[in-house]
Order: sequence, then C-alpha cells, then structure tokens
Amino acid sequence: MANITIDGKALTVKDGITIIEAIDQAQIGLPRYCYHPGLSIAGNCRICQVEVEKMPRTVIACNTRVAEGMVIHTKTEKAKESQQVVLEFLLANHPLDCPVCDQAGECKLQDYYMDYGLYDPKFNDVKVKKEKKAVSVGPTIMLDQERCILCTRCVRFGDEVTKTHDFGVFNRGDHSELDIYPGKELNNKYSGNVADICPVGALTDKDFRFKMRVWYLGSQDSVCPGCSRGCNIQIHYEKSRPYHLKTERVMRLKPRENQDVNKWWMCDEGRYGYKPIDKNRLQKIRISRSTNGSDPSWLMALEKTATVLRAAKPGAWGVLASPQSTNEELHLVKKIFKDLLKIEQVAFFAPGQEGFEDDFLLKKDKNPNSAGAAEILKVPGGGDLTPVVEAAKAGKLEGLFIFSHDLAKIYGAETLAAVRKAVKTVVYEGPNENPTAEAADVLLPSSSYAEKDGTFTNFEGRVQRIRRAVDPLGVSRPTWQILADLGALLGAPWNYTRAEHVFNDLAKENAAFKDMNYKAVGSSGLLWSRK
Amino acid sequence: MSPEAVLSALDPQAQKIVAKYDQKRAATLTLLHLAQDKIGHVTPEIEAWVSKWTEVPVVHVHSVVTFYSMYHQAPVGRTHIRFCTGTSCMLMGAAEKLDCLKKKLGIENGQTTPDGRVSLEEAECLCACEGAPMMQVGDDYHLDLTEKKIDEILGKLK
Amino acid sequence: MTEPILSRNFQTPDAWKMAVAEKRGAYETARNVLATMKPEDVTNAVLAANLRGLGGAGFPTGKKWQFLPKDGKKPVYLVVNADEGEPGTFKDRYILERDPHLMIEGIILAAFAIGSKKAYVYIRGEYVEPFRRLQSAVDEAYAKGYLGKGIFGTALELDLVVHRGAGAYICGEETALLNSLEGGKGYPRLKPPFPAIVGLFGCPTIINNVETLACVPFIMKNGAAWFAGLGSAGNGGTHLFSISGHVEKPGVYELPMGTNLKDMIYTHAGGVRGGRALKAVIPGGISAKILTAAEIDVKMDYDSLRNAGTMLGSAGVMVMDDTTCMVTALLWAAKFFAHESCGQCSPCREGTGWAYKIVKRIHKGEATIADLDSLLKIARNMEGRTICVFADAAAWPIQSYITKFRAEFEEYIRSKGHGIRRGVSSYTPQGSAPAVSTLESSGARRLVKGK
Repeated sequence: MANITIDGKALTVKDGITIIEAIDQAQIGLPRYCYHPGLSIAGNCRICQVEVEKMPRTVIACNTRVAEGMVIHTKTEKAKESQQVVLEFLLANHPLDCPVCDQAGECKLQDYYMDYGLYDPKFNDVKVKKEKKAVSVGPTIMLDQERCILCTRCVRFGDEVTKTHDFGVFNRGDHSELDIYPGKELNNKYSGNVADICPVGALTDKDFRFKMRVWYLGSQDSVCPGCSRGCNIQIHYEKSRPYHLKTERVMRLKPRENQDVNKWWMCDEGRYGYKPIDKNRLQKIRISRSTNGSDPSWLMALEKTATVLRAAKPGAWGVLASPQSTNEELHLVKKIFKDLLKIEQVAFFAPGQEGFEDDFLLKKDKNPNSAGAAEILKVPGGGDLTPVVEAAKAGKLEGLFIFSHDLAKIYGAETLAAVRKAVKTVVYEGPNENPTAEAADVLLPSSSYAEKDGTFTNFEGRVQRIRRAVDPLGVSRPTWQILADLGALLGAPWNYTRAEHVFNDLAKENAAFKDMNYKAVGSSGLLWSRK
Repeated sequence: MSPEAVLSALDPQAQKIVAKYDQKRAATLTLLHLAQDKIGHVTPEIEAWVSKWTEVPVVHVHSVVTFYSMYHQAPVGRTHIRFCTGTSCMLMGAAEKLDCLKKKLGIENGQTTPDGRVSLEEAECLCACEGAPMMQVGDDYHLDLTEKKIDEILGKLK
Repeated sequence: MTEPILSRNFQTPDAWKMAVAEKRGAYETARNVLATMKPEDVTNAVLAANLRGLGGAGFPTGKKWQFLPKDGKKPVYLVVNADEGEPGTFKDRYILERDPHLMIEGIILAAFAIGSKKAYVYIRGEYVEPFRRLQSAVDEAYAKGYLGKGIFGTALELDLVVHRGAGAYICGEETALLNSLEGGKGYPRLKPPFPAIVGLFGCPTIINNVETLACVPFIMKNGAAWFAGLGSAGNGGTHLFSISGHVEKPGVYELPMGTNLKDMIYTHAGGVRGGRALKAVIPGGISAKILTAAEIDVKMDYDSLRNAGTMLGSAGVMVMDDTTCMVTALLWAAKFFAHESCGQCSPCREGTGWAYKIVKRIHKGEATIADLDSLLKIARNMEGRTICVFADAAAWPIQSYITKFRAEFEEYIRSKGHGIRRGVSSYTPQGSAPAVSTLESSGARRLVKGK
C-alpha cells in the first residue's frame, strides 16, 4: 500500500496503481478522454494532467503510477492550466456544431469546457476538413470524423475487447482521421459499445440518434433480461412528459459497470432488445374469448381464475412457469401452485430456444432467470415444458396456466391448436402479444421488466435487482402482484405490497437465498450461498 | 499479370522475409515495399496480402499505409520525384528550383504528368543538405540542382 | 587533430566492400575483443570513453547499456537507429554508404557487450542506395562468418536484419522506431517503461545511433582514455558535424567534440558564402534553438550548447547569411513539424498544424502582430505536454526565431511581407553550387551522387 495525498486528502491506495485510478477511487473529478478503465492506456489525449510535487512539469494521471508519499494536485493553477490548454487544442479543429450534434448534453468536450475550459477561444484559422460527416459505418453506428478527437477508445475496443479490429486512425498529424477499413462495415455483436465509450459526438447510436435530447432522460438501474448473463444496465426513459399512450417511453439501454458480470459492456442483442417494453403489449384483461362488451376488472379476472383453480381436480392443471419471471414471482408460483394447490405438472424450460453464445458476454440461454427458476421450482427433468405440454395435448389436463411462453413459437401452431382443443381452461399471463395469449380463455396482462421491482439469478448464481423505471403500461400489473392477489384469493396467508417482501420470505425459505435482502443485493448483486 | 498473380508470385519472397523477423507483424513495412515496388502503389489487394502474411488486421495495415509518406495509395508516375523542402534546401534556393521543375513538368505537388511519366512530391528533408538544393528521382539522389541539371535529369527519364 | 577516425574510409574507393574494408583493418578489433575480453569490458570501456549517443539525445551510451535488466530471462535486442531525418543532418548516410563495415563491427561489439543475439538496423526508407550498400556489406559479413552462428570462430552468434522505414521523421524517436519496426505506425510509446526494460517485441532493447556504434571499434582498439581525450569534458571522441546552408564548403566534418562553432564555420567550412555577413546558425538540426551571429562563440558539445540555451542535437549545423528571411525560415520549419507530427497527442497534432496556419498567414502578409503572441502561446502550450519531445522540438524554432528576430517579424507583418512570398532571399548563388574542391584533412567531403 502507498500513502498519497490528492488535493489535500490523505489516501492509502494499492501500490502501483495509476494516479487516475487513485483519483477515481477517491471520487475526485478529473477530465479524461482516452483513458478508459476497460482498455489499455493510450495516453494520447493528454487532458488528465495533474501536478505532482517535486516533478518539474504536470504529468498525465493515466500513465503515472503512485509512489509512497506522492503529493498530487488536480486543481492547482498549474494543473488547471495544463488541462485547459489541452482542451483548447482538442477544440481547435472541432466543428463546434453542438446545436445539431446528438451528443450534446453528454459530450465530454462540452462538459469539460464548462468545468475546466472557459478560455477565450483564439483559433482564427480554417479548420481541417474531413470527409465523413454523419456517415453510416454499419447497422448501428454513425461516424462524424470532424467531431472525433482521436482518443482511440473505439480502436482499442475493437482490438482488445471484441478482437474484431474495426476502427483505425489513418493518415498523420492534424490530418489523422478515424475510420473503418474502406468497404467494410462495423458489424459485430457488441458494436453499440463504441457509441458509449466515444466521449464526443463522433460515434453515435443510430437507434437513439435525434430521438430525444439527453436532458429529457431519466435513468434507472436494472439488469438486461436478454440472456442468462444478466448484464447490468441503465434504462433510459423519457421523463419529461409522462407516458399517455405515446409510442415509446424507454429510449435506450446503456451498460452499467459490474466487474463480476459484464465489466463496462453489453451486447447489441440486449442493447436494442428493449422494444417489447413499449411495443406489442397486452393492453386488456380478458376472461373469455367469447366475451364482448366492457373490459373485465382485475378482481373479476383473478376471481374467475381462482374459481376454476379451486374447482379443479387435484393434479388436473399444468403450470408453464417462466424463466423470464423474477425470483419473487417464481417463489409465488411455487407457493401457490406447488404448495397450495399441489399441482405437480410444473415446468419452465422451453426446449430448442437456444441462441448465440460466445466466450465473452452472450449466453445461449436467452432467459434472465433460468437459474432462479430451477432453484426455486425444483422441478424434475430440468423443468422442460414438453411433458406438461404433451399431457395437455393428450387431454390429461383440464387447465393450463401459462406464463409468457408462446407455444406456437416453441412447438408450432399445430401444437398450440391441439393444446387449445384438449384443455378446457387456458390462463395466459405475460406482457406481450403472441398466438398463445390470443388463444387463452383468461388473459392477465403483466408488466415488463422495466415496470417492476424484483431480482433475477444469472447463470452463475448471482442474484441481481431490477427496478421499476416506468409505470406499468395500461392495466398491466407486475406478475408478483398478480400472483400475490391470486394467492390471497386462494387463501394464502400473505399480504404482499412490495416485491421486496416476497423476496424476504424467499430468503427465509430457500437456502440459496439465505440472509439476502434488497439492500445487501445492492447494485452489483450477490452470489448464492452454495450448499 | 493480375494483381493477384503478381502477389502470389511474391509469396516465396514474402515467406523468406517473414522468417527473418522474430514476429510476423514486423514484416509489414518490408512486404508493403516489396509489393508496391512491383505494382506501383498499394492496392487493397496488397493490403489483404500483407495482412495475410503478417496477421496484422487489415485495418491496421491500411493505417500504416496512410501513415508513411513512401506508400502511395494511388498510382504515381513511372518515375517518382521527391523534391526536398528542408531548411537547408530552402536556404540554397529550393523554392525557385521547385517552381522551375513544376513548370517543366506542368504539374503541382502530388500530381502526375498526363502521360504517366513523372509524379512529384514535395518531401521533407532528405538529409543531403551538403548538396542543397536536391531531389530524389526514383531511388537516386541528385544534388546541387540547377535549372540545367534539372533539364538533364528530366531528359534522361523514360 | 590530425587523423580522421570515423571518416577515415570516407574517401577510400569501395570501402563499403569487404575486401577493401578488411585491408584497412575492419573487424580486427571485434575479432580480438570477442576472443579475449568479457562483455563487461566493452561496457566499461564505452563508459570510460564518455561516449554519448550521437543521434541527438547525447545520453551516455554505457549507462544506457547498463539499464538492461540483470536477470536476463528474455532475449535482448540491439536496434540501430539509422533513420536519419533531422533536417540539416546527413552524417549517418556517409557511414552507411561509405563505411558500413565500421558500423557492423560496432554492432558486433555492442551486441557482445549487452548479450544480444539479434540486431536490427532501421534505415530511413528514402536511403535506397545506402540500404543496398549496407545490405551487401551485411551479406558479405555473413559469408565471412562475422555474422550468424559462431562468429569469428567463437561460440557466439548474432543475426542482423536491415529494415527499411517508409518515410516518417518521427521514427527517429526510438520508441516510435520500435513501433514502426514491429509493423505499426510510428507512434512514440508512453514511458515508462523504457525500451531497456520493455522494448522490441516486449523484450529488453538497446537502441543506438549509427555513428555511436561506429565509435565503439575505435574505443576498443585505442582505449577509452584515448577516446575521451579527443573530446571535451564529459563529451568523448570526435563527432561528424553536418554543415550546410550558406557556407562556402558544406559537408560532413569530423571534428573533436567541443570544437568552437565559429571555427567550424569560418575555418573548416570556408566561411559564409561570398563573404557575406552571418545572420544566424541552427547548431543541431531543425529542432535546436537558433543562435544569432553574436552567439556563435560556443563550444559544440552537449553541455556547452545546453548552457547556451540550445542543443547539439544531431550536430546538423545550418548556416544563414544576412539575406535570409526569418519568416520564410520559420514557414519551412513550421511546415516540417506540421507534416511530420505523428498525430497521436492532441497538443502536438493540433498545435503543429495550427502554428503552421498562422505562420502561413504571416508569410502571406495577412497577419497581425497579435498572431506572433498566439504563436508563442501555442508553442508554450505544446511544450512538455506530450508523449515524446517532438512537440517541444516544434516549439523551439517558433520561440527562438520570433524571440530573437522579433523586430524582423513585426516589420514583415507591418509591411505585409515586402512582397516576398516564397524563397529565401534575393541572393542569387554565384555559379551552380558552392565551390568545394579540396579535402579537409580532418574530415570528410561531400558525397555527390549525380548521374
């Protein structure tokens, strides 16, 4: 350990870390463009200048290691002058087209100009012209060469993280320009990250471009439901104008740093997978397919459901639980269907739905909570839906409670039709439209993951929290709330008003979740205690 | 011969060059010189070929090509002239000699004569200041340039 | 000084060929040292000789060698910096073209000293003929068994690869050179780590200049004390000075370290051309701060020139007579730095281009006096804020030309350039080239390769 002082604050830090790492640990602000903790040190932007006592000149914090007794200043006149002149150089050839730049509001040139710049601009000469202004470089990203400050974060991302070697800096001197190889395109499974790490408006995300100025965005921490990795994310939603049947509330997803899960990154599949939050949502409660006229209330729908469940012969129902549900919701599935109603035909795993997997973030299991489902439901045979669906097809079940699964997608339309024909009552609970929902007798529209609190357990047993970013759409309700009410109607001894309460009970009853609570799970998650 | 054929003919040489270096990527500059000497300028085919031999991603081969002034990204003349614009040449009247050369060739910096014979590049100091003003014609240095000498040199070009 | 040392073969026809070189004693020293001495003997001799890096930085060579890690798990590389490019410098070309065996012998000795089995010579791409001669000398040395396995019949081995650059001044910076040699762009590396610890291919590497290595055989042959005694205090040996510009006899001159600049110009190089008045001298390549005519009574060695506020650098002496327009001189210098900045660090990438634009405006007569202060500010702001010293080198001409010739700059701006737009002066050289016909006993003569 090394004892150092930064801006008068005494700190004890690990030997050999860089000054910028120490500064970040102490949460002292310092401008940076090329430095990114997830990439190699480039040291080219030169803005993270600090004054170190006994050194003749200011040094860059990203490539200077701490040493015992080092006294560092980030805000002395000498340090600030260095930061300021570097900024002035960076802006010399920058087009300053902020009014038409989509990065405005989250641009580090703007931010640092306000924090460290505020100089009187002296550049009176003709700026270097570069060819590519708002040019598509691939399915997800637009490039503006004139705005680029050549920090090479995106180059290093392609070389070091994805190893797809997309970007390069061509030419030299002030004619240096960022580009992809002529004729190629930026098209890898993690391409969106380059827009995140670009500190200026050089690389922008096509999906988000000009959709909304960033100062109208609210942000909520969550977890990507796109696969069993559970990348930590932020949900960026429109906050200025509350949603009233407008087309979109969630504007984009951004990765949130979690060293144990996704570092700083997320895949494109997850990043652009937020559309179902606002699209193709189930908007109405339905009790019977033949019902026309006014929409039923939740109480009516749940009472109807409770009535048929109560009236059923023991073991005559099947439940297709979902690995898209939270741990809390799956716990209630277990409590209601397995424990209370003694239903044995419970499954959750849809076969043949595996997707792409790599050795980085993407997992082939495209569900966020398969591990939680397996642990909580403890069903035989890996929880495969097929035996339950086969039983339904064979007319052995009088009712089927389906969470989220679309049988048409998994088994084909004929299977759905056969099930529909053989089973008297089908209850469907889920957030989005699909043929199975369409075919159900009772339809319970549930909230998307962005509209509720809860936890997912990722592939390695890490329990992570999702949080409500936007209100449940229309009449939809979080699954845990639907089940809590249904359970109460069926006589369960609970009165849950928050998902957290369900979780606390889960932690008491399931050893894997022992001693966990929301506070302890926090923003970076907790691993199951292994038996 | 097609560019591909030219390059495959160079494969045996490339193999020997790569073997001289402790790491394949170190052969990048040498292979680019070799292929450019044959084809005249660095084409995408050459970049791909160099990338294949050196295992350097092609985008980085391209950034190397664009970084160094000796690699041409477009065809140049049969004879390429680098006219030194270093300080000593300036002191010794390079500006007038350069103007004179441009007039004789009818081209400016970075251009090639319409007949494809000669191309001109204003180069940074070629480090033959004892013979300023000077220029490099093809591979060869020509020192102590005068108008008469420039005429003689140009006259001998194919 | 009576005997040329480094330049002793420059006038010998075909000295670049093995047969001629050997007749003149090439490789005798290396053969002898490898057979009878220990590697540390060579390092110690080089240290005691006060040999300093003759590429420009002037760092003591023996000390550099001692920075190598002692545990030695990774291979050690010797890289020879033959990327001569500093404007006003042409001395290494003479060695490469006229006496390559001298350098190869130096390489063998240095490699022996530092325990390297592989050396690379990085030669400037435009040096085509020097490359051919060097390559042929290397081939001959292999054929003779002076390179390769079992050199001079010992158990030692040394491979030598000659590698051509491709036109980028910055590759003379030793870490840019390493990146270029590894197949990349010539971007200087962040330091630390230094090349002696993490260099070529991540291995410990010593990078020495051509002339520096050419000194080593003489040190080993005649002794460290002899070599040290040739120069001034702390600056051992002789040095090849490249003298150009407005002198009667431009050329490479081998002179003792510490030779007076005034003598160099007036005695050795025949004085200012046509007997004109001296205006200014750049003593160490374009990057060195300019000296006015009043400042040239100075010893030409690393320490004396540093004390005079400039530097010996690559010892490229550029002489300017009273016809020289300093605005034009700065224009060409600023163009050079803008063109050769690698573009990696923002202050240099943007600063060199910006400065060039302002100087262009001044030169065209479209500037104001305030632009001079903007230039000085840009220069000051670039200085010391980048990975390598290129930005500093770009700042120094701006600062020194404007500061020392401020009145001329202001007059130029006020008069909108007297109509002078390019070129240097109204001076018309008498005859086609500076007349030089006799050889200096102490030094080399010009290489004129005409066709």
